[in-house]
Amino acid sequence: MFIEVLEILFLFLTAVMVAYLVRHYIFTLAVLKNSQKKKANPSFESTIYKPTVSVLIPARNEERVIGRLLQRMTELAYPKDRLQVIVIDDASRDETGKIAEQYSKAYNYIKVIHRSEREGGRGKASALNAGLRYADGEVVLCFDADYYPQRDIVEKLVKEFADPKVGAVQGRVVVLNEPQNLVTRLVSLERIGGYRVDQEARDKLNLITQFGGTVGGFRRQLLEKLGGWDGQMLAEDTDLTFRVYLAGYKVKYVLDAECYEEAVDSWRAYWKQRYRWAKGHMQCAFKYSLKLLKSDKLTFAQKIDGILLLNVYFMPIIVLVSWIVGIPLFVLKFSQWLSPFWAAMLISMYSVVGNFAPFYEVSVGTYLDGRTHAQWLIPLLVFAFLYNIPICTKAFLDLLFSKLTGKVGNHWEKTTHSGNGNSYIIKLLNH
Amino acid sequence: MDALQAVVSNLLQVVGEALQALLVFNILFICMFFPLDGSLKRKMAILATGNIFCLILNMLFSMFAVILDASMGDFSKALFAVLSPLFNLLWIVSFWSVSLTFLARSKHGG
Repeated sequence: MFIEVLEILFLFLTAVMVAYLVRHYIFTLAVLKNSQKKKANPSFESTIYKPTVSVLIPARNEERVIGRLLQRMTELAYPKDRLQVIVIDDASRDETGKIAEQYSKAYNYIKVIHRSEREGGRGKASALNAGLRYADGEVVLCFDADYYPQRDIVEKLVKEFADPKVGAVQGRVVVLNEPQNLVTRLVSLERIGGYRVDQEARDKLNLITQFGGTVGGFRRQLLEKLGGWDGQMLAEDTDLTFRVYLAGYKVKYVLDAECYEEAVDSWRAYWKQRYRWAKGHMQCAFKYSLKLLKSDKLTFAQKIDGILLLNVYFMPIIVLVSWIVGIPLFVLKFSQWLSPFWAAMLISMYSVVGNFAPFYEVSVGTYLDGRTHAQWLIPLLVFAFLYNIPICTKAFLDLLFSKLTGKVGNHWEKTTHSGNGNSYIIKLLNH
Repeated sequence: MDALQAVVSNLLQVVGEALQALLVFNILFICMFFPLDGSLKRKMAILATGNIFCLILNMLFSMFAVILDASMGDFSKALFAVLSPLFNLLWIVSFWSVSLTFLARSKHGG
């Protein structure tokens, strides 16, 4: 009986792995095929569509990077009479507020909201909601304080709202400080896989394109109708993504709207960031999986993709469990209906072919970007993947514990930005 | 006679597992590598190199497993069943990455 239970579990885990395997391959092949097609000209309506825009920049102790972004806001090509920039100084204890005030005094379209210690420090969602109260643009865009956008990024993003079905947009994130060390190089590879291939494929295949929390935005009316960002959710961006789709709208991905980010530069910071993402995603998985399946606003393919997207951070745990289940099965001997040969084939399928799929995605992303050396580091992503196993396992256990005890405990575990990206901006401008 | 039979059986096992890995490698490469832009000659050369690599690495790994099996018994079989695909994943990903570098260089005139 015990062996049969293990075998059923083993087969179930393999089926889940195969589903992700197929998804990765479909995405990569879709993007490859699309890259060979000629790019369609933008519609006339989209090129003249220039709504009023409010840019929200939540910032907590970002003195090393906020000045860089605000300077960039003054250099944007978008008409300044149609632009409003709102910095939410979220109870910062450094010079963030002062730096923002200097820009606010010099430029009338830049506004600063200072939150007190009592109001602030409750998370990014809370800060964004505070900023939303002052936003009057038709479109609301968000940028994290450590980001550095293209000068014409606003035009590229907002033109998609000419389509009334578009409720939100997402641009591409590129790592600014890639050459800094091994961690930043590996994070950059992950970003290439995620944005050059994954997001692009989901957009082209009309699946669930994700709003990533920055370098993107919403129709203000829709955002207000949905109640803004949910402060109870760690991954408020993923949460909003699904609320947009469940409301009957879609998120449009704009590949050529690039924004540079300062990636985490240590394994400790990587752990903290990925832990937050994993726990937040899992929260959303519990909240939306059933709603997705029941929704009449989504296609069947969108429902399947949505389920896979929501549960993606369970994958490292699934891999770990399948190894744990696989070894005793081989030692204890299989029952009559699953021979060691087929078991070995199944393990081979997901361990080699299945686990190869995400590397394939990343490598094709680098290939399409015209990179000729970045591929050398791709094998090291295997170890980054192994590092994600304890991260996701801890996130899951902590989430379970908080659900059982009722303690939510979300607070702004923000990534500390060193400002090391500043030196790379000079290289970028000189490129 | 028994010893000879054991040697032959082990050899067949080693070759069989190497052939299994070859099959996976070739399916992956032909489906994924050939659709990319780049010189066909380069792709064929890379594929041929990969096949030689695959055969040698897997035969070495399988021989090591046979030796372990003689001393550790069933547990080593279980360990090998889980580690072998991981080993193949590591070298296939590495080989794939390096191959893509050569292909990308040929695409960009390198």
